[in-house]
Amino acid sequence: MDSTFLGQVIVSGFLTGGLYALVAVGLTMIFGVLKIINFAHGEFLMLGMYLSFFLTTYLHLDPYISLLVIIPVFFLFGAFVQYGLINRILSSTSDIHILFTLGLSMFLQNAMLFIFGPYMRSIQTSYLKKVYTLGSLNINSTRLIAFIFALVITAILYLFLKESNIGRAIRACADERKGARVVGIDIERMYLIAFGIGTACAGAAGGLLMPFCYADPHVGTTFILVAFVVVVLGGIGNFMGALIGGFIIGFAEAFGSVVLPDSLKQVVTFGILVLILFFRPTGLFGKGRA
Amino acid sequence: MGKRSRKTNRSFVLVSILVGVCLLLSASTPILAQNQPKEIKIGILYCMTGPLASIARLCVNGHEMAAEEINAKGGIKSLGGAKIKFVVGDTESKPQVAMSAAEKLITKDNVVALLGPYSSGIAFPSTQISEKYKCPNILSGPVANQITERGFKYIFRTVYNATTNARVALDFVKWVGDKTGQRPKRVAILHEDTLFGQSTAKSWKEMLPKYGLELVAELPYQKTTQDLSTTIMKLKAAKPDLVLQVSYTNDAILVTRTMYDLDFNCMGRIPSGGGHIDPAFAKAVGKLADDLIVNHHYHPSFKGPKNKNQIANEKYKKKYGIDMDDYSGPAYDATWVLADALERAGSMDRQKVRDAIAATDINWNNSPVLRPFQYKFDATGQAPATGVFTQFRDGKMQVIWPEEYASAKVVWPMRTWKERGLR
Repeated sequence: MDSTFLGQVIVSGFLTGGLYALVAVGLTMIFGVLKIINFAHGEFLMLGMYLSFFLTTYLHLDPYISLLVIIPVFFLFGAFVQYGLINRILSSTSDIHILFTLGLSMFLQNAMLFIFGPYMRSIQTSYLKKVYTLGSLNINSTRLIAFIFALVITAILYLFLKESNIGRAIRACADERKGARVVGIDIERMYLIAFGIGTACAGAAGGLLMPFCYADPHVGTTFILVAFVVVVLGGIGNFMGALIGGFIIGFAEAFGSVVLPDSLKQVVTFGILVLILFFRPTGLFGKGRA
Repeated sequence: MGKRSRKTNRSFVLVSILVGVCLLLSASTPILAQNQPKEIKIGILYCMTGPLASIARLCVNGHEMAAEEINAKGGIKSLGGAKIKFVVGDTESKPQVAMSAAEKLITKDNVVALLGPYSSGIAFPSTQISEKYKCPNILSGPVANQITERGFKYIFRTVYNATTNARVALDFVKWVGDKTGQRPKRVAILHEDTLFGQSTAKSWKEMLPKYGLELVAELPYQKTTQDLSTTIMKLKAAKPDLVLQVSYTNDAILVTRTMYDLDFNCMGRIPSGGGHIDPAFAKAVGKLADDLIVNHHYHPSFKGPKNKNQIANEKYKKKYGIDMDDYSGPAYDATWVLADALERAGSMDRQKVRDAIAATDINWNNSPVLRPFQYKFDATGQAPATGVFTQFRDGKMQVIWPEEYASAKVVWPMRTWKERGLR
């Protein structure tokens, strides 16, 4: 493997990793605060792709400008889903949570299939024609922009959680729910905000993916599987874990597809899942809770 | 009369008349129904949802247009003018669903025959069901050799198999090499990893030595992958002259875009039909596809008797907004093949229909079919057919080989991205 090849693979790992991190951060946050696994997270990403498709194709918005629409819309959408649906099952057992969100996932996939048909949607943007060259390395602008935005959004989210009052309240809920209630934090409001943020992350990731991926009603299933592995790898509920885990899986896939044929690259991802579950089930950064 | 009142008497008469009429009707209707079927149910089994849905839609277009013509001409005359009625089954682009969908069409909808699927990976299992229930099944898309190598009696294929496909591609390479003096030596095979890709790749690998070509890389990938950068890097590292490719629509788009991103150039890239003929491919990649050479089952620029290809194409274009293609052309023909068989069978009995299909012997001179091949099935159910090659020019496909159908001269070797002004 010469240096160009190696360099290109590393770049590929970074670019993919950044996006996986964004998706996983949203998912891990929902679990951290609400203690539920949102199986419909991939479908929120899919919906983000479709919204981006419609905004770009029919309103002729720049795909990255359309993020300014997507993020708030999905925040509100997430809050609405939490208030109207998730709230009703929060007090149930975790198997009910799983069944419910799985059902929501299937409902969304089939609703989109019914309304928009099975056709693969992709957008034509001028960004696709622009390839940045760094020495002998080639990076398509759409992937680079997606990477940068994913990192920016994750960084903003991190600062929000660390520095702002609401952010601290959210973290308090995640760490110690009863204590948070005792000190007067409005738990129900934190749920709304956390679910909204998580959904907005998924929607934003969808919007960032649209320029170079194609959307169909089932595209969420590919991403949700990887997101889960990342979240488990990083420790469920751990922000940093999701971020770093995203990059680890991104690199694992990139190097995996060097050694193995493309058809088997997911073997590496799921191999890592198996190893983590065997040796450190709480994840790399998770607190020992098992 | 005695105890019976007038009222009872009257109702007794009324009831007897009613019963009598009913008996009369029920006696005659079976005769009417059996001798004059109003419609013949034909199963259309395609991947209406999933990654192959856009291709499936085009196949169904071809079938629909043919069926409308057949019905407009009076239906199947030997069956009293019965009209063809399609019952659509969706395989969801999944092999297991294909099998259950085939079973439903055959056992619940009681179709007389099946048309489709298009994809090899889907047709291979679904035709097992057709064979099991002895339901004749005409295929106008899948190329995998194995489909007609199982000793099945009810499965018929009107397009070439993978071996012929591979041979035709390599014959073309020899022709263009001799013509331009630029002969490739190093060959890489890039293919999707289901039966379509695997069987075509296998046929190519077997034949390369006969043409004096050396295999330097074989790169399978999942058709649903969203990232092929490492695969194309591996391709680049192998330094092939010629890339033989097998892809469906979305992966075809991804391969072209990734090759553009990573500045991959070679003497020639020849995909074997599949997704490259889907209008969605040309629409998505535009000029990035230029100089790409594609192998087809059908092209509307064929010059059939009485200008039939142009006439059919105009009609199709009016109805569906696009030209006839690899998907709709063979599907259209397959419907006419079935209609011809039904006409000769004069029956909706599956065995008789199967035997009639097996005895088919028509071509574009003596029937409405649009392809220049003889529709005559051998003992394995395979009809002789080859292909035609087009090259993308300004985002449009022009026929370049065989020369009798050509509308443009071939560009070989393929220009680099830079030479095409794209980088």
